[in-house]
Amino acid sequence: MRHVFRHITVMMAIVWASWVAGCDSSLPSYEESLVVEAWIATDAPLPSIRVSAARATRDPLVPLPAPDDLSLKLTVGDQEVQYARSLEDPLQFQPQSFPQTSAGERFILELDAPGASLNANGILPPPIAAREVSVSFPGDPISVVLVDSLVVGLDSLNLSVSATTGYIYPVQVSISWEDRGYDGWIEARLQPDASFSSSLIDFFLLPSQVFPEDSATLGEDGFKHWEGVYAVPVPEEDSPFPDHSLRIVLTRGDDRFARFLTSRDAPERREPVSNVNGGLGFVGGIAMDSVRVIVSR
Amino acid sequence: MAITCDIPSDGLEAGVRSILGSFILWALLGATAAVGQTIRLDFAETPLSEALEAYAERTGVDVVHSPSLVANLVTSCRYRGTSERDALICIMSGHEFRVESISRRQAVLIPLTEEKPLLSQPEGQVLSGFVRDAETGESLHGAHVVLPGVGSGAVTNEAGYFAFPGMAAKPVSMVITYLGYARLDTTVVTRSQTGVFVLAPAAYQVSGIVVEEESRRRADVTITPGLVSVSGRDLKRFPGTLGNTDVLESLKWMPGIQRAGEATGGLIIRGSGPDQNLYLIDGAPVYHPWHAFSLISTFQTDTFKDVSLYRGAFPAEFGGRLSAVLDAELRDGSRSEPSATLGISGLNASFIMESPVSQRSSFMLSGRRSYIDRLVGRRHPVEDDAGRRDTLRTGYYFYDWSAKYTFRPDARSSVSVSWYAGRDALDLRLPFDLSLDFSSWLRPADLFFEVDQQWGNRILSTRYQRLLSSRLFLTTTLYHSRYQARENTLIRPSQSSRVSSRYKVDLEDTGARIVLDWYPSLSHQVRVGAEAVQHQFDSGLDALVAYTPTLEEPVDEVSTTVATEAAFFIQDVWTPSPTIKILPGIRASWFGSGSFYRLSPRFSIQWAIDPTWLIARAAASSQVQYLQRIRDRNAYLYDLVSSRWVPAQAEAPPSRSRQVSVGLETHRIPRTVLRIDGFVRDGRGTLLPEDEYQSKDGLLGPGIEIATLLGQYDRGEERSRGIELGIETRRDRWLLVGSYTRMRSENRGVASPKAAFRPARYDTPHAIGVVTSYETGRWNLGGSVDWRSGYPVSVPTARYQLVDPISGEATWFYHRPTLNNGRLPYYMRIDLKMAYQFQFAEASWSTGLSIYNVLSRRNVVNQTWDPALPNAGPDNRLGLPILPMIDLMIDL
Repeated sequence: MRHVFRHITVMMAIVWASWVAGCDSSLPSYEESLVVEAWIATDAPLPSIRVSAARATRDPLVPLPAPDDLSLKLTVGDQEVQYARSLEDPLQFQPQSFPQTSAGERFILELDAPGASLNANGILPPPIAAREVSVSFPGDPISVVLVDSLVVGLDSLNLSVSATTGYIYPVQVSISWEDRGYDGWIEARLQPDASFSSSLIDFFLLPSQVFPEDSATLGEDGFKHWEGVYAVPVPEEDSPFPDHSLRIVLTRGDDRFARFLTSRDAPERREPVSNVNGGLGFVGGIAMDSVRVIVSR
Repeated sequence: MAITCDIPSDGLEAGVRSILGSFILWALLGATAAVGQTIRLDFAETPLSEALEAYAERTGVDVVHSPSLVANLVTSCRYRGTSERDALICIMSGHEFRVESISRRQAVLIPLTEEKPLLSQPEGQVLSGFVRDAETGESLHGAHVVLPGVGSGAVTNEAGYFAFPGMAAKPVSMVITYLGYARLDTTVVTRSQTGVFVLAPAAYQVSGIVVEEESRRRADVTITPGLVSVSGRDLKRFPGTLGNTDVLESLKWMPGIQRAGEATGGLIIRGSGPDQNLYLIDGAPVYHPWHAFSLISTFQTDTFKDVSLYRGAFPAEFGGRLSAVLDAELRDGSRSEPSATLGISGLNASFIMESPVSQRSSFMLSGRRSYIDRLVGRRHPVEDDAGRRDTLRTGYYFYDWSAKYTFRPDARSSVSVSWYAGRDALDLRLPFDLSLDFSSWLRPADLFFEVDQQWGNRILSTRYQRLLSSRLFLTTTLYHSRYQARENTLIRPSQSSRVSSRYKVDLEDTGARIVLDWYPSLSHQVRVGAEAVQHQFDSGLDALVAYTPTLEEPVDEVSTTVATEAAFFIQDVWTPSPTIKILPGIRASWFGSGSFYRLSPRFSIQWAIDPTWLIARAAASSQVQYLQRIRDRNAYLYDLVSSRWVPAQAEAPPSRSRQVSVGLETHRIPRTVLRIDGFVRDGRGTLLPEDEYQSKDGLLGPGIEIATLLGQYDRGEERSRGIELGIETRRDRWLLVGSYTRMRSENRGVASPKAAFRPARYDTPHAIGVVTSYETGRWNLGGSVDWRSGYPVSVPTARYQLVDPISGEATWFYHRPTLNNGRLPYYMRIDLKMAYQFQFAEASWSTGLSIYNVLSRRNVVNQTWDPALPNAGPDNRLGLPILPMIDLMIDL
């Protein structure tokens, strides 16, 4: 019996030693990070730049301004522009000079703060100009399922599709723009000004899309075309079409721009892919154009 | 272990003893055999084999024997009476044999050779034989054959064959052991013929006599390093998955093995990925060995005679995966008598039947099917108040068939044909707005979704085995394996839009393998072979997303790739001394898609420092994997249930791994085996998601072209190391298997040279598993405890806001500085199992109750965080609550 006890003692000692050795070395903890948001557009004045600080997860949901003693500099082409904090909004930084940007120029953003040094760079894409816009919608509302996710989980016996039914007017929009032979990406977005709760049905519609520009349809007119659909929910099956204003926005950018846009639409699951070295956020070179139309019966 | 019934000392037997100077062990039919009808025997110089056949015909008792043993022997005997025992003694009078009972209607003839050699032959003979199941005649692969006096041992091959060359022609004691079977201690004489040795299942109850385990199992030197075996009998004693006894589920009780999910998911072996394990049925690969969304495996316990799991340094004949090989052999079918077993559990109903077809052939047929669709119904005609009709569908089922036919044209060869087919099918047509009120589903719906998903494997394997000479054994295998998946979807989310897709994945393997076992000397057993297989990968996607009647987005893609893989291997089992066994081996392989050549050496050594006190093992190996499993990480419309295997190519070269392991094992404590193993493992060239946070969130993805899919992955490196402690103890009616695994597994993408290793998805620093069983008469009570660290999770450490430049809308995001920087709460579950056996209507019945998660502890299986909520705590996704299941088995 004694040797059995000795064996058990040795085994328990090994288990204990392994246990201690197997502990995770550290637990995740808050680390200060600065967040930079800059959208530098082609053929446009330099934009204001938003700089904030990430907060601890248990802090209030209020943006935290960056520390006072930081320096922010943006170089576009061979022009170096200093930025200063806005007096009205501590999150915004304004350029101290106003050179015009142009396509093909390289830009470099540099930010220095106590304990942090951030930088980002890119190249400005060719300008983009929207051409023809056409809008169509049915005469009556249609029945639709309002769904925003397809969640299936066997482990939790969670086999559910979160959905209800309702009525919408699907509005189909077509827009074209000039092909500049740019090897980049386009974001096309339909932005009605009325407050429609369209996120519920976006899953099966196409209110915006990020796509390689070379995959867009090239029409006989020599222009690139894109078509999208957004929904105008109405309460009843005989509700009239609500007149509203629609803004159609075309934005051109590079691979990192597309990566950022496609990764920012699931905040509960992930954060956007940043191109800022040493920090968070995004500093992108874009070309943008938009068209506003009134959509009415 | 041996049957422990001595013969009664009646007058007749005493007379036989005095004549033979020997004895007969007699448990057959019990001591009161003189019941039933009159037996009449009248033999005069009749060949003994014929006399035994006549005896079998008249009594129904089969006396198993090797034809070579009774060749040229005759008997003269006249008997009239009712005692089967006395009748047999009459037949055997004058011959130097003893009879051992192995089952109620079966005995085995064993020569008495202790006193003097039967033959006088020169040195250099080959002692060889086949090891078979005493009840069914099945060959036993992996049985350990040890010659204690010679200090040599061997492991039987797939045909149950072993050979000891260079033996002197004198009696030697031989011990044969096989997991789940009674140990056979016997004395044999080297002969020119090949013998047949039969083992009886352990603890077989014969007329009220229970064959007991030996008091202390002696460790021998023939155990294959890295091999994990669980006897079929033990498998039935373990709590299974929701009432089902499952091979793969049971393996998780072994050290270093776990399942990926709570009750689902593949096997994680020593920190590897689930796709790094090779699953074989009769030599043919199975690419998706799971049913019911990985709830249970396709390996139905009772259909296999042998299941071996090799971890790490698996023999050179196996290749193509980095981590482990599970080699399963279907049962040949009983060679003695027909039998059938019916069963029903909470998930499925099943049957197994087996029978001899002729003296030289037998078959086994088994089937299993879930029946939930029969209870719920698959098609539901519905009608609303307006008279509108529709047919909704709620079908899900799985099934599998296994069949094997074995033909033995002579004593030296056998041909077998194995067939396996398994499939899962999900067929739904339901309205969109589902709720827990099931009655609300059954109504005509304008807006609905249809899902038709099917996936399964089909295998045809033909194996020819021939004993070319006592030193050469040939095994050839031809196989065809096909994995198919179909996912058809039709969604109508609005009156003006619809989504439809038809997605298919096919992977077909056609292969041949030839293996030659060569026994050049007593200290060497060489296995050499070659293998060639053609992989064909087909996939297709035909999808249409119609946002409006005039705005459609069609997708039509087809992908076909063919790749040939060839390998040559050689493996030696070298026994330089009675206590040392060395297994050097090498596998050279070539993969046509990319023309990759790889060498994979393996080496293992085992030293029995003291056979009872301490055995030390060490192994090192290098593995290569040419196929990897990936899936589209964007689209909801395809790759939902199917696994997509893709071949290595220039953009994704074969992955490699290396593993070194050392271990100690002791049998010092009676009836208890203690093991400790340590290992270090690394791999490179494995595929890791390029964006770990990306998950399916849209209808369409970038497409199904292999290059496109590979674009979603980076090449990665992985490493793991760990210590495994295992205990297995059997006390009277108790069985306890326990393990503790301390392990870390990490990986990193190599796209960024600065990327640090991070915990792998299933990194589990600590895992404890204990399963125990208690048998008493008709009752079998079992329980298990599964405790492990929580899986890694990416925990946010900060929160920040971004503003959309177009809409001006501000959105909060969580910042996660590193992947898998946190961990879920620990996982703990207790399962119970109770089974009761009884006889009814001339059949053996067994009914059981399994309780999954008896404490109904809601383990946290995932966590998410919503950055828009002031409360920063995680939203926990919980695991399964308590689930009782009932099962019933009938042995006919």
